[in-house]
Amino acid sequence: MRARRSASLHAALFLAPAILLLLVFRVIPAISALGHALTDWNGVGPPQYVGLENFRALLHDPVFRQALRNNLLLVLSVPLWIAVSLVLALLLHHEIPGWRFFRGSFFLPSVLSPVIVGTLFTALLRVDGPVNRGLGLAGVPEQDWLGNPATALPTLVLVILWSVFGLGVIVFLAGLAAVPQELFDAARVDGATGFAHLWYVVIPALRYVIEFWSVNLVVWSFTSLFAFIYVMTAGGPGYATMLVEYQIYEQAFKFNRMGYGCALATALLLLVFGLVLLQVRLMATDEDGA
Amino acid sequence: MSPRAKKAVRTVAVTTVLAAVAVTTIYPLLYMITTALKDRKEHLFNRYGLPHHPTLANFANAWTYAEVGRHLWNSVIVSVAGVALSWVVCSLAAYAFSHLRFAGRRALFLGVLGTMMIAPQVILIPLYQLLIRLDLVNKHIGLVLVYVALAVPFGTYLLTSYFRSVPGSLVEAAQVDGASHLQILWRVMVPIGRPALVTLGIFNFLWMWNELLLSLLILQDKHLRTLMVGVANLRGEYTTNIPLLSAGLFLAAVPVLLVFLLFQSHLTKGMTMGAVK
Repeated sequence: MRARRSASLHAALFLAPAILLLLVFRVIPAISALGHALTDWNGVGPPQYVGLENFRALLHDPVFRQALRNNLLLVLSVPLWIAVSLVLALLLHHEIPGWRFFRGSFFLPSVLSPVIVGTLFTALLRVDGPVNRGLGLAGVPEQDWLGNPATALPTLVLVILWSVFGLGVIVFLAGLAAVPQELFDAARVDGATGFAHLWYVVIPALRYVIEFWSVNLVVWSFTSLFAFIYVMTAGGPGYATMLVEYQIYEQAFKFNRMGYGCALATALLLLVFGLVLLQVRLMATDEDGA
Repeated sequence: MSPRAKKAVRTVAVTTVLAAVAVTTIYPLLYMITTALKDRKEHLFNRYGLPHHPTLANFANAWTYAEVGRHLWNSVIVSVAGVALSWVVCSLAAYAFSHLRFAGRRALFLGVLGTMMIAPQVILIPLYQLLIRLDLVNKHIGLVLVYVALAVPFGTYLLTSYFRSVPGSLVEAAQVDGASHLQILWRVMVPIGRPALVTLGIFNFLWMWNELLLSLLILQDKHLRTLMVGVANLRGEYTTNIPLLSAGLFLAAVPVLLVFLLFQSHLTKGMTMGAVK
């Protein structure tokens, strides 16, 4: 009895720093964000309760619509990110001479800060920069890749892909290492090659890893791209590369619309939550069908 | 074709594809380094070649005029303090979750993990207001505490699963010998959990070093800024001076490049901890 009470006391002491930090810097602000989403608030004066007014405004906000559209386009590009990483992981899996070097070079961009990657690529993508020069050799006319509304978002997607595909390669390599070699051998005996091999053997064997990684990428595409936008496009030209997370920052800290910013944040929270549930659901049904 | 020739052809084809991709990851970094070694004039006339008259002037200018030196120091303070404090806070919590019995342990553990759902963007505004009221804006400790709060869920999860591998009987035996829980944590758990602690430290260092958004808001004072905020502003001020910009970028990337070179195997292992069971 005494030992148990002492254990509880110790547990409370050992957990106090972690719980306190989480409460003060995450849980309380999250609750506060939900509350302030219902107010008109400039951050200085007292917040005015306005009910669901912010959410009504949100539905008619053309910038938010554009941001949402851009975010969804990013989500739609996730299969491309998966495919690139998966194919490269399969090629590395053969362990040809020098594969460790290649694996390292693919992984390298992902340790660099988005600030560094973004700034570096703004220099590379200048009208008079190396990308245009290289493409010029192939006959592609010069472009202002990030300055043209038609090309800005696809270009941004490719830069982001550059910075993360190596992480996917590492994850898929680990997944492949866990698949018993006999499975691949048996498939080969059965005559599965090329695309059939990929589709009927590799992808089912890696289902859980692919699921884990795509959920990660989806969440990440909604919540971790601020720095890329901040250094590369500031959401422009126009709103061609505006994302919801950047709009939160802009509304709150450029226009002092804190209440509206909180409404945007609530929308983002619900969106991510909903998409993750949907994705897990879709993959679960897949399994039932199989 | 003989099977052997077929295999050789395949090796060449695979190597070609991998090499092409490797060029796209390495060339941008090479461009950054060679550009940083050129003066502005050479950059105009010899944009893509190796520097004929390499100079370190850009590094010196970035270090002093663009204050990369000062910002680098701020980043070191914040990330080192953040990593160290995360180790302490997560180890204590993980010990409680793995070896102390108390009511509601499982629910609390799930609650701690659940806070991972709360992305910084979502709480940005109230968090900033709260930090102003606590007088933690424009103080390194303010950013450090927020970073640690972000690092707690995953760190606690990782260390708890490591500490669990220590049998409870060992802990009881140590207690009978008169060791306190803190001593058991320090003498038994930390040595056993070392691989996890190292991995955790590397990961926390990398994201804390690279983070922009929170740092931008919390450390607004020019003298307290971290390097990533400094570099992001460098871009605005020196858009046309690509060599100086490249030198600043290179200096900002050096610490993470070192971590990458020294700990690559730790990183690749750590990456996959969640993916493959």
